[in-house]
Amino acid sequence: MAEKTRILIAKPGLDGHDRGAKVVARALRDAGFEVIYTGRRQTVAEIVETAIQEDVDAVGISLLSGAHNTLMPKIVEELRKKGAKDIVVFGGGVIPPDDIPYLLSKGIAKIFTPGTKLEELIEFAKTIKQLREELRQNG
Amino acid sequence: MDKKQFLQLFEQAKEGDKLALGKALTFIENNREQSWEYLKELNYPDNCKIIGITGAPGAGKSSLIDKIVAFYSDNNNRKVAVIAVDPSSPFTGGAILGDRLRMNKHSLKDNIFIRSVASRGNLGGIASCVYDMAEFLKAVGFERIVIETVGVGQSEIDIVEIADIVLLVLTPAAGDDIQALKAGVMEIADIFVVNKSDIPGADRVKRALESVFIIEGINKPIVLTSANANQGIEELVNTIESETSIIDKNKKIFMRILHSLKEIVEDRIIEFISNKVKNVKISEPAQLYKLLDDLKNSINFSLNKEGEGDLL
Repeated sequence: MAEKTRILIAKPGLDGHDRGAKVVARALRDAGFEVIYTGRRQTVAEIVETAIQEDVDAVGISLLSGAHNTLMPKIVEELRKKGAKDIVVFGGGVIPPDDIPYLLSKGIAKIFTPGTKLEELIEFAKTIKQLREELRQNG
Repeated sequence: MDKKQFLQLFEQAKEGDKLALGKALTFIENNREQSWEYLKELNYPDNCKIIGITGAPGAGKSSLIDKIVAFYSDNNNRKVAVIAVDPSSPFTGGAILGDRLRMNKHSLKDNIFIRSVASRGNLGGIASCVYDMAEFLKAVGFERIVIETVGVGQSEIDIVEIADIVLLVLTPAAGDDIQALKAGVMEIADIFVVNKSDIPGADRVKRALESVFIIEGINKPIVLTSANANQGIEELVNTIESETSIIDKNKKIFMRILHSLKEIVEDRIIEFISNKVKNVKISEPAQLYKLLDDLKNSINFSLNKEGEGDLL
């Protein structure tokens, strides 16, 4: 049997708007992925620890609070610090186009902005195993 | 992963490395037969108790586990692991694993480990790999392992074969008294928990259970809890501890090994047959009939060799 791709959908910080995260979680489920959803208002430490214990292939961060430039790179940094060098991190939310290059430079694999088609997200999710393998090889 | 790598992950996990533990569990989840070979190499301490929790969706299983785990780790200073199983979609194979939502604040504690598992098509309420995952957690040094089943209600029987003790979580206002008489889940439970005891009707559920017990000649504990209000948790944990003090350990371990083996054989047969069926094009139904005939012949052939006659 082919190994399932496991994805953590996480909402860090003081952001109560979780409709987007739930839509994404359901779309991924319907496309055959195993999605772990931990609810709102998680700390960076909780998200990182969950990703490690669940041994997910990727963490998808939903952020609509404006704190993306702080919290998203922090999650990548903490994951790498804890030895999870190959977990893919991607994000989504109301993120200004000008911030995207910065986030990508901090190790976020992909940013999805409002209006993204779910098909586009699923196409990305299908590449997660491969992206993880690349991270593993590049150390 | 070869055996050496696996045993290395085991050693790291034993030292408290949760990254290694997470990776080892993934390997067990995806490579049952191979990991079964490796698991034979490990030593299993006998101070571990496996607690199964079942009950209908929304009964409060996850919230109750949250409180039980907190009690074990904070008051009894135990190492506790949770395996929470949620259903996979039979259509897409996907799953949303949300049990963790109720207990995620424990993620950061050193002596607690939580893992979500998708049922991946298993109908008995837990994924087949859960048996082996629990054994691994035991070998790593966890003293209490809590397994939360899918919670579909009346077919949750697999848990009996792995858990040392099974809790059935009921609630007030979840159907009339007749629900308590339904066969299956009632028989597997060792402790009956009436959760949400802060809302009216909990006493009535307790009395209904007691009257069933009298008719059936059963003597099992009933504990009222409210996970929400954090009530009755100490009594529940004490009941779990006293009820598990008299378990026949050897019998349980033997049963678990047999069950694991049975699952592997079953998985193999199902995978073999379903692959055959999937390869048939629906535009050629004749192939399906031929496949059915072939299967009948081969099964009857092997049964006849045993002298047991035709099955299909």
